[in-house]
Amino acid sequence: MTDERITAYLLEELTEQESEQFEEQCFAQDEWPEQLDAAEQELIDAYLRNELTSDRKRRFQERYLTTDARKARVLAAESLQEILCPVKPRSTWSEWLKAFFQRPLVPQTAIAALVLVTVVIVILAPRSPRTFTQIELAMSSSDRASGAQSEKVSLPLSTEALEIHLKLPEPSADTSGYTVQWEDINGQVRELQIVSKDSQSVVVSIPANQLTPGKYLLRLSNNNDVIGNYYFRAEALNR
Amino acid sequence: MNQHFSSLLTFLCADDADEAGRRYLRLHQKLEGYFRTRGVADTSAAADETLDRAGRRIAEGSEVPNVDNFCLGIARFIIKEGWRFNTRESTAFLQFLEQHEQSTAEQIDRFSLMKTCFEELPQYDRTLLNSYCVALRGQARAKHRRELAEELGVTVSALRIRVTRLRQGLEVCLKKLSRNHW
Repeated sequence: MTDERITAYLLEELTEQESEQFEEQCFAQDEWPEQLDAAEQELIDAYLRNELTSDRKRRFQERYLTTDARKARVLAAESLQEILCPVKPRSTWSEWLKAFFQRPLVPQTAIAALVLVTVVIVILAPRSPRTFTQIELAMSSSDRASGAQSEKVSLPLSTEALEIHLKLPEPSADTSGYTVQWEDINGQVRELQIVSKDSQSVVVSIPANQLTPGKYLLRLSNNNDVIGNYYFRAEALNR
Repeated sequence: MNQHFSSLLTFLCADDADEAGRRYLRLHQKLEGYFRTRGVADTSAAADETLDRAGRRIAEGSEVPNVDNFCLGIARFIIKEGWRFNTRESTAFLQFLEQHEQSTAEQIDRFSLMKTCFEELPQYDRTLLNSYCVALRGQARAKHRRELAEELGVTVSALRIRVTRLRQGLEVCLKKLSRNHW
């Protein structure tokens, strides 16, 4: 159960059959999974911070905000955000520009030149993804051909990249020699840059535009010795 | 004891009343979770209704191969009925929130009530919420939360659940305080 799947459930992006399966999966557990509440809060936060795609924002308004209890939850979250992350009043661009050009001219020219150079650098520099769909994978004991159980990711992603947390089979004090290779659906093997790592997990990310439906393999190695494989399946979402 | 309730308890565990009670409570909690996720306001009443109907059907002799799926089926039906769980309480609460959304600084509004609730939390929880909710984006946010979890000596999942519970507590507090202003 991933946040992405919970979000898809809440926004009614799943088919009726998938929704029912999802509910049965939740209900079959000893307790109703708290992960659902956590993911729902994050969905609400994302909506309030305007971080959802336009499609998801529309679905949130049309498919999620359908009961008073949910609307109240959103308003309460908004109040809390107001306390925790108050938005400072911002002057408009026109006000800022007006104030800028009312000052003596020499420093402004230098600042304007600096801003221009910065803008050019920012535009030309490769940009790291800023929004992520997260999944957590456990190491698999079987191979891809044997049809190992794998985590599902719905495509297209609503974020810029897929962030994958590879859980280590046991805590490791030294992860400095770890590398991760990625084998895509065509069998092409590439090195994946590790975003972060600690004693429990290694985190990598794959840009959304490099994912197509199919099964993927991630191979974790330590100083070129293979430690194990992780699998996930990317599936086109039925809307 | 209500006859339906008794039938359900017997069905859950005929020879051990304590165990039957525990299973009943577990089912009730899961149903509350389900109704909460579906956006029902009075989740407890909805769970009561589901289990009452389940007990009635069992007393009538319905075949129940899997009690979880049986109850979930009834709960779905209750949602489809658009039953009365979106109660007056919820509606009034929402009206209160919307009414005060535009309020002036002099008026008691939902922000000040939330602030009251927030300030009632122990210092540790306030600091935790403040740290957790730092408005970073994307990868930086994930990294920040991993570091915070590490600092506190817990997993990221455990931290997330802790924050979720705190926020749910704040929602309950906000409802309670706002009730005085309806």
